Amino acid sequence: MALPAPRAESTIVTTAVPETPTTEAAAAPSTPPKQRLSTAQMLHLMRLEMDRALKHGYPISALAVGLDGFDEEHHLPWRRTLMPAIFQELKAVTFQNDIRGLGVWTERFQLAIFPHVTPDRLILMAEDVAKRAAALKLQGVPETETISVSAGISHNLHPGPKSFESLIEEAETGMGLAQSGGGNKVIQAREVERELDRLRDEVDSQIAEIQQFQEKLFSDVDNKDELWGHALVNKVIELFQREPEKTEGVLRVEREVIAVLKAELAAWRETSAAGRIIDSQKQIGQLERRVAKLTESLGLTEAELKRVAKLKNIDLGVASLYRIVQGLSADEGGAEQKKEMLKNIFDANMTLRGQLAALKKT
Amino acid sequence: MTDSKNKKKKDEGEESTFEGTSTATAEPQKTEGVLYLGIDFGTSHTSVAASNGVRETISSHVGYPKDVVSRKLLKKDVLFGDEAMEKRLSLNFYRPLEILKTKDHNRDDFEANLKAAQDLLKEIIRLAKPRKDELVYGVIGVPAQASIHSKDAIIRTAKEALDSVMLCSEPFAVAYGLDMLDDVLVIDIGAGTTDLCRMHGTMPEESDQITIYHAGDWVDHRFAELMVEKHPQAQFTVQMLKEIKERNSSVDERVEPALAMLPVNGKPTEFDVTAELREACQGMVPPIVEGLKKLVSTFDPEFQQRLKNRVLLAGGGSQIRGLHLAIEREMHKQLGGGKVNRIQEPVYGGSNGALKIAHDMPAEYWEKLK
Repeated sequence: MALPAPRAESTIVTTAVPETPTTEAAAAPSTPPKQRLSTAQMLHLMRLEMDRALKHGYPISALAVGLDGFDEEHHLPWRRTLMPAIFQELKAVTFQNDIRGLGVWTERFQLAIFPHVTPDRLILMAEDVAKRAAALKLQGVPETETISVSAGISHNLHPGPKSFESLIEEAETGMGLAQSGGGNKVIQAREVERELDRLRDEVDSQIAEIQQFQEKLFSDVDNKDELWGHALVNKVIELFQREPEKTEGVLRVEREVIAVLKAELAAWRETSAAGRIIDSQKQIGQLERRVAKLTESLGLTEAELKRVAKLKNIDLGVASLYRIVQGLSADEGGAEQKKEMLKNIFDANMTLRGQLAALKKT
Repeated sequence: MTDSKNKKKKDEGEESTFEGTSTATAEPQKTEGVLYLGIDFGTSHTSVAASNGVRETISSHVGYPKDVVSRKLLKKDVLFGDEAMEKRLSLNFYRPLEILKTKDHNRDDFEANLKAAQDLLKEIIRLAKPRKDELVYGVIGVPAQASIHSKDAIIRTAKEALDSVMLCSEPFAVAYGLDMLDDVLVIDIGAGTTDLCRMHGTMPEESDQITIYHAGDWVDHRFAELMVEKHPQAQFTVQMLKEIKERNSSVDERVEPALAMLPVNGKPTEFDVTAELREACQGMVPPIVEGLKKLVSTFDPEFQQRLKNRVLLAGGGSQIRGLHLAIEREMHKQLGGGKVNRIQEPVYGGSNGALKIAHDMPAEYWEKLK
């Protein structure tokens, strides 16, 4: 999934460094007196925490928080007012939950990691932060402006590849998705990705299915008028394949389109097949009536022939007793002996035919 | 197949066909089927027995009008059977089956006889009344001596009317029709030849068959010789004597006198020809028994007695009264015993047997011979 432009090449280090002190350790009230660290130092500590969590196998979650709206070009001053305040709210929530974390913030976003915190818990915390942020009243920011934040959460409890970079990237992705989805949301990016993957797979399989369906559906269609369905399916598939990177919304729409298309085609097919069956049955009916008429005519003709033949003393012949070739019955007395004799007669006749053929050649 | 069975099945077949064609609203019935024909292509008579119950026989005579006048008068291009015989003076007349047996294909009339045989075959098939929508499979009993050219002509002709055709020997067809395939001697007395055939459970080979020429025609000629000798004043043709023979032939001593009206200088005169006819008929017996003797004596000694007691007399010649007894008597003299049975239907014995062969023949054989 594409991230918002400021985070595209995002490592926190390379993004804008705030003019004001931007980093500080967020720690529980019982921790020793605070000591401000540079962004690089803080990021280094965060990386160490991640390495430790991976080494010892304990959970670690990351949170990326961004301000909805307030673009940097026009509202940078507001951002510079809001972001530290929101970071303070984050710290407050962290303290309130009695956990420890490490975080940094810029005018664009805030990033924090929380060792020993599961994503479920962090979601609740992020929602709390969002509520608190919405309630902020700050000098320099008009009261009429609605303040909302979007948050993305990532963690190390999944089976996929894990690293500090991927942890941060997934959190940023979640935040981006939350923002592009209307804001004021908390999204766990990996689950979203999974959902998107599932959706993508589903759409792909449905496209494959509809292609098979299309082959079957139109293979026996001779009428060119009926090929509109074929062209439509081709067009839809082509459109779907044009854009390789699809958002969740697009995928959902594709899924709906395919479902509708399938249903329509199936309905058309059913109607079409039913129509053809009805046509065929009509034709069969007509043919049957013709056969009946012809049979009747034949009967009349034969009867007439018999009558004329009788009048003119013409003999039409006498029917045989047998409808099929009979052959020697196996239970007849001396059947084997007779069979042998019949074979001899046949052989003698075959020999005779051979002799006659040879005679004709000479 | 017996007559009653034939009749019953024929009735069933016709009934179903009739219903199928006359009732348009009824469920359509399959009218196509398989018609089997058994044909006995004999020198004197040609018979057909069909699986539609039709049985027909005609004398093996074919005639073509000699000229345009005859054709106009007869109103036909070709005449068959007794009609041809009756009008033979206006016809180019043929007994084609006689020629089929000849090996001399250079005879002037060979081709004409061949054509007559083909027309005769077409006619006998037509008489069987095959339907145009049925497959027609036929087995034709042909004389054992028929040349390969003759067989070729028969097959070619038959294939014009039949979907598939097979040839078989006449005596074998008779035995097969009667289900007597083991240790049987068949005497098939035709017009041109008498065929003796030994059946022993397999197809008879050449050594199992003897053909002698003491048959119907031989009797006619012998009868004519005796008539010339005994009644020199009588005027007759062989055909006239043949008709007398067919009405009165007997080898029995105690029979009613055979009286024949023959012209003497143009005046019909009655002659008692009993003795001459009996003598002519009896003339066949010794050669037949001589042939039987050869077949019996070359058979497995253990089964010779059984063979002698299972002699079947078939063919048109078997209708000579007392002939089977005369053969038995001669067998007693020459072979020390024997039993001769005359078949029930001498005229259709061959065609019935051929029909049974056709019926029993597997479908794949018919297919291969199409």
